[in-house]
Amino acid sequence: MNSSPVLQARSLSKWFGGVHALTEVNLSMAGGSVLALLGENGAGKSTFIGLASGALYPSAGTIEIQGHAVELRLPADGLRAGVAVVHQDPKLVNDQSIAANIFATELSSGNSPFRPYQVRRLNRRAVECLRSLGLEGELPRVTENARALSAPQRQLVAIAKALTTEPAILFLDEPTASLTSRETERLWRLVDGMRSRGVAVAVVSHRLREVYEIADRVAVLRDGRKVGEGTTAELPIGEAVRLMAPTRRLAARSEAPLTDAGREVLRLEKVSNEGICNVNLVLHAGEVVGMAGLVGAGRTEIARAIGGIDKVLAGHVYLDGKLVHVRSPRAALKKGIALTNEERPGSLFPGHSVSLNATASVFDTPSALGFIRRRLDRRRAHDVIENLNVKGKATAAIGSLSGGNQQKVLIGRVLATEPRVLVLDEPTHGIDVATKAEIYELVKERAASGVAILFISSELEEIFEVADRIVVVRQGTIVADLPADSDALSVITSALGEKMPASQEVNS
Amino acid sequence: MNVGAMTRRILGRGEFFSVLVIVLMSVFVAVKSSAFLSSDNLDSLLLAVSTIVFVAIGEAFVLMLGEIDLSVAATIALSGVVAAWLVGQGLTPWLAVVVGVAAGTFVGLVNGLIIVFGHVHSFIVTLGVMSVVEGITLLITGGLPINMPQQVWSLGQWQAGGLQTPVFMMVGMIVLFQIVLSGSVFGRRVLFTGGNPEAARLAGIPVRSTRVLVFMLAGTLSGFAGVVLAAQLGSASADAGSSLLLPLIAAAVVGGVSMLGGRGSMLGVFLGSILLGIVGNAFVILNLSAFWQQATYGAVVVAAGIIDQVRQGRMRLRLFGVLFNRFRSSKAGQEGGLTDSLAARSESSAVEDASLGTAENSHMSAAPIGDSGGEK
Repeated sequence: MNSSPVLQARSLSKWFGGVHALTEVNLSMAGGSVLALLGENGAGKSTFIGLASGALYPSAGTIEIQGHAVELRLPADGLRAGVAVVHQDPKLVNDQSIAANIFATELSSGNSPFRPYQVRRLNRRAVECLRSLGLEGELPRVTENARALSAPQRQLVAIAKALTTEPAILFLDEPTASLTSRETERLWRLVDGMRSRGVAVAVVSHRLREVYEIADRVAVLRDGRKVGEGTTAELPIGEAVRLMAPTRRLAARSEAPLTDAGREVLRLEKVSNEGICNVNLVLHAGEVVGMAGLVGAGRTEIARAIGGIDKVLAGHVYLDGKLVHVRSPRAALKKGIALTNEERPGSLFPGHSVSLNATASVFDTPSALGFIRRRLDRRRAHDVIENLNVKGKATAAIGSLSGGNQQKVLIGRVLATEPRVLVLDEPTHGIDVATKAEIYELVKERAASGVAILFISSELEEIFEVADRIVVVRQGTIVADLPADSDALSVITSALGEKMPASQEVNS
Repeated sequence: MNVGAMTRRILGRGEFFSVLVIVLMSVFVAVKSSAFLSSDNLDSLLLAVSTIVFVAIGEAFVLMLGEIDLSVAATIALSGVVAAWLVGQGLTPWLAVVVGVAAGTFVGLVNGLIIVFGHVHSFIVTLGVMSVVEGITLLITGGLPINMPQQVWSLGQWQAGGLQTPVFMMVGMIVLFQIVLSGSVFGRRVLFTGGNPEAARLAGIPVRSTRVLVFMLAGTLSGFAGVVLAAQLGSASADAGSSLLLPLIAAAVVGGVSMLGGRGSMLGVFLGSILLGIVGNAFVILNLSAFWQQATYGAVVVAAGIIDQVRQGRMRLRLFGVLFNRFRSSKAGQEGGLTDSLAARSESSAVEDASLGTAENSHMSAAPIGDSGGEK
């Protein structure tokens, strides 16, 4: 379309306290073009989006939109200037309908609060909106509350919401992190539509291969500075990765998985509850079982049943061949079954230090007459930080760490309980390449020391990277148990429960 | 550590505001009336504060859970009345005192069980229980005070160095519960449960028993405060604690206990109680209307809530920065100077950073310009 930039950032800088989140970044976004904004966690991508959308105010530098310098002091200013953002964890009003969430921005600004709120018309428009985006099949009825939505569904509602403002500039922050490949493909079609309508789109993603499918241009940030920019042809994936983390390489896929699985540790027989149905699963000591499946297929629900978070209503769970009833996460931990949650914020204690967070599952055992053994507690926290290579001081607030480091603390927390069964639910969700590689190493190392590991992921690549065996979940039950050397197509086929056209082999 | 960093650290401490206000108010009241600093007045001030402290400690634990207990003040009266009444029924005085405290524990247990297992909000449960307890207390007393036997007066009236028993108990309690909060398994469970209940459950913390125990603790401490108060006054009456609910919640919140759960310190609770005690004392000393006292307690609670939010960075001073900047840039616009508006902008961001309490503005604004020269 037109070549003049829709958004132009000049020497944009932002610092928080003494931390330079963004330094002198010059970046432009053109209408009808998709920019991939790349960088590791903490590189400054989210800060850039915050500055460009009015959520943050620059410490120095200017932003021009459509050629005019703008002062974006509040997100509402950003909306008025035509900037829309879809955040990684979409903020929806849980107790409002999907329709009300989609049109929330209309209700917030520029309209009289006393104008009658026509629910039926709103619902009709929401249905039309979703249909025009091709999303109507993905969501429950628009009158349903947002609370009932799964993570990817929330993402889709947030996207629909962003598009109702007809933005000239659209930011998508990690939009595919919780989407399956099929949903990602649909999202890219939407983005393509936006592009052909002349919208300037910027996508932040750690899934480089996916984002390269859609992007026209690439900009790489590292430590708050722009370190590279160009078309996707000028800056191929390998080059971009090198710029993001110049000292590290992508972890090479290990070709020597553990072959001889040890003895059986955990066995699920026809386990059912509200979310899952007749799940049969065996985990062996020293084995990493990768769990694949579409989002919403019931993987998390299986994990929660194993970890004692959700009740098992029917079926049997055997630990070391003995029938057990795990009624709470506490009971599970005592039996040696540990789980890390899919949603990171749901497991953290905000405002508390790294060390308190790291030892949250072990600080009370053993205690000295009800008092915490301080030295032991400190040593354990220190061990987590050292062993998992957490970048952050023990006394630092957990919130000051990057997402990847928070995840490492959480994994360290469950490892400190010395589990024999470890369930990791999307442990690499939204974290950077280097940390992912560290987590893979850690998983393999723990397996080698005899832990039975269930590794749940939406990224097939990483399942192939770590797993000795792959189970596929569909509609609340395990539909396939495949060896690690199966091809991606057979995994995807079982996940979908249908034959796939060859063109959709996205993750293979 | 340089002076600036130290100042910021002190400012960042939750207790700073309490100390500042305590000092300012003491100076103000002392200047207005010489009676304030008399040892008689200070003794009675500390005595009044001690009752608030006992109960505020329990309330602080409840607030740290992210809950509230409105029944504590009513429980103060109940336990004193139960103890005095049981003596009248022929029970050994010291045993009656123990049962009085246990009555408080029982109220807390009922609160806790209904809140935790009935999934009813603590505000509703304790509001109702408050009324039930008040009713029972009135039923027992028939509206008249009951004498406490002399054998147990020492619980509230024994003196050393001009200070009465409750003052020593208060100091002991503060120390004890600070140790419990920061050093015990229970204390950390409370912080975790209040900070993020779901995360606490996932981490294997016995969330339900912790919550019940906290309500029992609050009830027990109210019961304790009640019998000590009755011993100190020599009689128990049904309206003993009725005026204390607001000040004791205020004391906990002023003391930096977050109403959203997960944070707090006993030193803060102590200072908060002192602050509220001085407010109450000032009205007496300066001969002001008790109606103003009530209004002031209310205002202090609200102010403490606001300060809590500001401290957590939810309500930054940034708001003021924005307003200030709007004003500046509109003026700059009139003068037509681009440099002015740029200056206004950098100033506003400085205000914003300063509000974070950690910024070192001068050194920061120089740094990025220095580094960036080489890159381009």
